[in-house]
Parts: sequence; structure tokens; C-alpha cells
Amino acid sequence: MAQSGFSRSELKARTEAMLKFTTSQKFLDELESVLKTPARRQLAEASKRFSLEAMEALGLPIPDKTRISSRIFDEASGRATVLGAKLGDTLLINTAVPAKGVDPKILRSMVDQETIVARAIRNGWSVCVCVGVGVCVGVGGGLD
Amino acid sequence: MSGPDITAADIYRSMRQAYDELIDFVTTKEFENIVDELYALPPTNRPQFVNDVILNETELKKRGIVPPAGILLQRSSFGDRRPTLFVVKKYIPELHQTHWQNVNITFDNPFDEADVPRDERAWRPPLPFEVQQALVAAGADADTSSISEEGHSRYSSERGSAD
Repeated sequence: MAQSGFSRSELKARTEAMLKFTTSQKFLDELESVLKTPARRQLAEASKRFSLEAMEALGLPIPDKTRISSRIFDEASGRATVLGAKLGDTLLINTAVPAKGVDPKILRSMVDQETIVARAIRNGWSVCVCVGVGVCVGVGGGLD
Repeated sequence: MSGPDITAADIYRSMRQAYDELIDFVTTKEFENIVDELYALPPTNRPQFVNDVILNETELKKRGIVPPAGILLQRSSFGDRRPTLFVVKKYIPELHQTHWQNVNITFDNPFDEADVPRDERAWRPPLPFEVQQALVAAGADADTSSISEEGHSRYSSERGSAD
């Protein structure tokens, strides 16, 4: 990729390393354990099972610059574009990107932890494994 | 594994095929051009470009982007609060979604590796993507759970001992 310096061959290599890691039987077993945990405890369980130390203890070869974290995708706002198909439903939340210099108080008011937790639980979150910085190749799984 | 006949090798093959389709798409000249257009902008202007152009089918067509079926362009947000911009995603076949659901290639603003945690803080509930975008546009610290009125984050001051 011109801007980020990622070529097709590099993307292939990164995705291959990541797939070997995330589709290894040991990793899948850990993921299955997280998925079987009650929803409200899944993040904590994932935090334990997917720490880099826990992965190393399993003897899994961890690709360079791997990050494993929770993630949500914009599945419902209508801003998600399905290429080759019509746009989704009308925006549920039409929050314009604010101009630079926005008052941090406004941002803080948007970051309400209870709302975030409630929304994440309602909509589900994913386990995401990324390899690399800038352009990240990841895999997501449902935790809802 | 919930599907007894689905093996790790089956999952690997489905994910590999989906990734190959994503790579074919993101390495087209037209898509590379739009990525270049995005990254030519100041980092704080990129979320608006994502909304106005990358998530806008008309603007995509103007740039000659051919839409492969089943590929999604979306916003997303991570628990580790990295300054992410957008993601190109494809679901693997439902039959093989016993563990993983999708593969994706994600485009972020550059960030300092030390500023994005890998510990249990990576497992916080992700911010709503609208808030994530707002923070990137404001040039605010990615760890927004503790933005002070001065615009500095508690995480910044704790980082020395936390990482």
C-alpha cells in the first residue's frame, strides 16, 4: 500500500502469521472458553486468557507486534457501507465529527462509562487480534 | 467447538480465502489512491474524510472503486483506545463461524506503541465509534476515560508506572 508501505506480499505474510496464531487449536480452545463465559464476565475472562503472558505460557508463537483487545464494529448506524449493496438503515446516532479544538468537557460528557458498558453489552463486542501498526490485520469474533 | 464437523483447518481455510479477497481489494490502485488521499490529510481531519468519502458510496464510485460483494467498510472502536479510522471487513461463511466471525484490515492513525496499552486496559468496553472519532478529530489523547478539563489524560501521568 503506497501510503503505509504495505505491499500485497507483506499483507499476505502478516495475515498468514496471524492466522496460524489465531486458528491454532490452543488459541481456539482459549477463545471457546471465553465464549462460554457469561456475557458480563467475558471481558475479564478474555483479559486473563489473552494476555501476552498467558499466550506465551501456552507455547504459542506470537507474531511480532500483536495486539489482542476488545472491539466493536459499526454494524447498525447506517454509516457502514456494504459495497455493492444499498446503505443500511437511517442513522441511529448522527454524531458529526466535531471541529478541532472542541472543548474537552464536551468530549468528557460523551464518555459516560455506564452508557459505554450498557451499549457494549447490548450490541456485543468482539475479541480482536491485530498484527502490526498502521495497517492492522485482525480477526473478530462475537461475544454477545 | 460448537460445530463438531468443523475443524481448525476448515476455519483457517475460510479465513485465508476471506483475507485474500480483502487483500485483492485494498491493493487495487483505486483503493490505494483513496488511502493516500486519507493519509495526506492532517490526522485530525481524517475522521471527517472517513465519514464523507470512505463511507459514501457516491464518493467511492467517483474514485473508481469497484465494489466487491460482501466487503464492508465500517467504523470501529477498540478497548485499548487506539486511534482507529476505518476497517475493511469480510465475514467468513456462517458454517465456519464457530469461533471467529470475520477477518479485517484496519486503518489507524499512527500512534506511539507505548501509548496504547496491551494489559487489562485493552479489555475495557470499547468507546462508541462516534466518540472515538470525535477524540481523534480533537487530537485528544486516545485514553478518554479520564480526560481532564485541561485535555490531558490521567493515563498519560500514570504511564510511567503502568507500562
